[in-house]
Amino acid sequence: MKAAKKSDVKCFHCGTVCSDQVHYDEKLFCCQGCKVVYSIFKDNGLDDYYTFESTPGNRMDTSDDDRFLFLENKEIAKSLLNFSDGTKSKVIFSIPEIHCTSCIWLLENIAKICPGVIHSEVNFIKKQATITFFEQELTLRQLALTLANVGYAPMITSESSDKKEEKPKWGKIQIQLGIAGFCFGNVMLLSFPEYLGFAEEDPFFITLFSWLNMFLSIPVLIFSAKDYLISAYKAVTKKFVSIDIPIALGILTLFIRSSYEVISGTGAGFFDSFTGLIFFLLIGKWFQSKTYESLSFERDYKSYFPLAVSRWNGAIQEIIAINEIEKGDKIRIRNNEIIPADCRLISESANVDYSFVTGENHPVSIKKNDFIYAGGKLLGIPIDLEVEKKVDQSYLTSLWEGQQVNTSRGTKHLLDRVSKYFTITILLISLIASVYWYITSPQMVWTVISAVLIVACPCALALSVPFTYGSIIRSLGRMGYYLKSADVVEKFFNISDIIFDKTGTLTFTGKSKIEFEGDPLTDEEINSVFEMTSASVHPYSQKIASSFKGKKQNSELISSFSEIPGSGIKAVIHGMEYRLGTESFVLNKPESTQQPVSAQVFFSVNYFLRGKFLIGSSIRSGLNRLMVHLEKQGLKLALLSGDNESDKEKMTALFPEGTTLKFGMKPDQKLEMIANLQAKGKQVIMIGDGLNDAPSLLRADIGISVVDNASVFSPASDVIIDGSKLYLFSSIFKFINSAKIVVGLSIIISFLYNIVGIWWAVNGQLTPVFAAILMPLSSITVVVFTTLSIKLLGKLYKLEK
Amino acid sequence: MKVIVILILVSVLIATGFLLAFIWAVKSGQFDDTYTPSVRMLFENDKKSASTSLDVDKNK
Repeated sequence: MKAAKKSDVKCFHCGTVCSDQVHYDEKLFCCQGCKVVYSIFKDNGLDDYYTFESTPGNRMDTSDDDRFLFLENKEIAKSLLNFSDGTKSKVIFSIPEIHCTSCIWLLENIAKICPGVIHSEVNFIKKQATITFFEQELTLRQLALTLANVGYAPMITSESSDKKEEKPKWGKIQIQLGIAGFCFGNVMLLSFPEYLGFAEEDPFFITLFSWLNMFLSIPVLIFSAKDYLISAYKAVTKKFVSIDIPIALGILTLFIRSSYEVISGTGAGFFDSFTGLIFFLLIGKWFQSKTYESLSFERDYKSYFPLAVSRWNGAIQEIIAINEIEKGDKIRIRNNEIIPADCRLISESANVDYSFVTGENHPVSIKKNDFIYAGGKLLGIPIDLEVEKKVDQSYLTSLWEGQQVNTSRGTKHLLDRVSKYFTITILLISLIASVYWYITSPQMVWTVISAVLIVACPCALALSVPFTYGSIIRSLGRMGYYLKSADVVEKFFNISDIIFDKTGTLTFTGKSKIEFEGDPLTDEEINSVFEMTSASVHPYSQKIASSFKGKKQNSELISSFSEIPGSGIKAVIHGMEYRLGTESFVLNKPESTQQPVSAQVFFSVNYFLRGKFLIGSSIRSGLNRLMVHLEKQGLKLALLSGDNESDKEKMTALFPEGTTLKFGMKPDQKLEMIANLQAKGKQVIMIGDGLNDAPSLLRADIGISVVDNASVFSPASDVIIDGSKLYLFSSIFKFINSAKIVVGLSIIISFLYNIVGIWWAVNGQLTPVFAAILMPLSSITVVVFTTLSIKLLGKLYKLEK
Repeated sequence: MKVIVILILVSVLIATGFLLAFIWAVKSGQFDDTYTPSVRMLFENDKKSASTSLDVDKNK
């Protein structure tokens, strides 16, 4: 990187454009934090970190040293460990910051910075690091702090302590597929002489081969095809028809008839078709089971709460696990910590950010003895609270618990509906055929019935849906839309309403847009504003301070500083008096009776008004067009915001005319709205974020959570979208809906093959060779057709953006 | 021609060996992470980390 223009200079560590440069070791850094990390790496011989990728580092949040205090609690630390034998311990940390090759290298060499670490291994896809360390030399908290200090803070939630090593379901289907593939290949090979008509020439080998085939097919039936048989059995006992019933029927008939032929010496059987069928079916299953392992779709409220909290025990603080909190406990909450239970404030005042719970954009100030609901995040100096309700009885938690019943929304799959008629038709055909053959030549009856059941086995049909949906999931994943499972695709087909949340969904969270209205500020003024706001704990001050990227604090500049609650802050720097706050405060006039307008901070120098800072939420780009497109597609839109009406004008402009816009909605009111719509037979998509939308996301037919960083937090939902890609939603919607046609066509294709096959079967002319060709051919046609058409459609809609 | 019987049995046996190897590979988690190892092998190991990375403790 050549130091050309000032604005072009990028930080050597993290790649952020440097506004204020820190020089060190002939390199440029955007802030002290990045420099420190660089020097740690350099001193420990880890500067290779910068050779794999340029600017691989993460900007750190240099908040405070109280982080991970809860890891001091032995019980909690123990619950996080995966393994411990008294000297060595193993822990798996989720580290969302893992993003490139350098990250892997650094984390696997972390032992150099962090003595006591024995071994560390990164799983890049899951964004996890497995670290083994000596307990005597290193505590879990020290380890977490070291990682956080170099920019890889582990994400520790109750989730990480609850599920330890979950059994991988993934491996099972791979083994099933492996065995089916192995047997399929060998059976095909051994069936070749039969295809080529060597049966008469050398009957000994043909018999040997067919017996071998039978033995090779047994593991396929018992192990690989197990799930189909079990699921079909369950469907029969529960008296409903699923696609698995005709499949299981076909599988069993194939195996039994083939075994009969081999044992009785009347033929070679259809073992090649049998193993091939299972193999293809499993490929479909495997293709469909695409999952995003680094994402979690199942988070509940517990993940949002801290694992532990410090409680006053007399005059000393002790750290206790969150579920040990009792009513009447006095607890201490620090800056940026989440309040875990419904409490009463003991300290004088506090600023609480409820954006997560209510969607309210601006922090709420709370006075002594006021009630604080769980879920708020404290901004500013530490406070003491008295617990009013236990964690699991708080307002938010109860909302969630009441909703659990609704999580499993039983919708019938498209394929199961089709297969109902399919199964009935097949049974009818075999009945008619058997009656016909019973009259003409009775010895053919069983041959014909089994042939019909074999050839009608809906392999291609069963593949059409997995491959279509699987391809869709993959295409969407590339565009930043992550679906929980293939079943979600189908739910998109009948959507009539889309409900949006505002804060964090249509607007950015946290990152407010700070604008200065007035004559441009001089460098000196900018520095002064930065110094003042950095010294203050008021949320607006912190927002303004954080808008000046890369500044370093130099508090010695300020000669006198004072903060007047409710009015603003004033400071003397270089003999000038700077004031920030309400209009009357900065101009030193008596406080007007008018309620000060929120989200505005005035700035004056020596009582001369310089202008004001506007703290606004910024709306994501491209949403205007999105709303127009969605409306054109006949979807009914609505906005349910937990925030106050301050953004009403912007929202009215954004949405089409006549859209329902509701503000100040509580989580349970949102929920009710959705339930009402559903009661009218509508199918609803809820697009939201945060804990306040969580119950509605669960309730809606499709819950979509919007995140700005896919690896960070999102509530339980069906789809996770990268916020910067929200504007693509209308194209995505069309894309998914056009998949309906693809599924329809592929079902028709597989039916056509079935009709041909059944014609031969009914005529009593189904030979093993014919079956062995027809089945793979139909499957492959369907697979190729669906994947290609989805690819094509994807291209078509991507062009549109 | 009877020699073919032996050949076939041997070939099935060998193939079964590979199948078992595959099952072992899946069970021991070699397919769990298909990306990281491809990156890891490109790192230059210095002597110290080379010796430690060998005794990976696998506990189920």
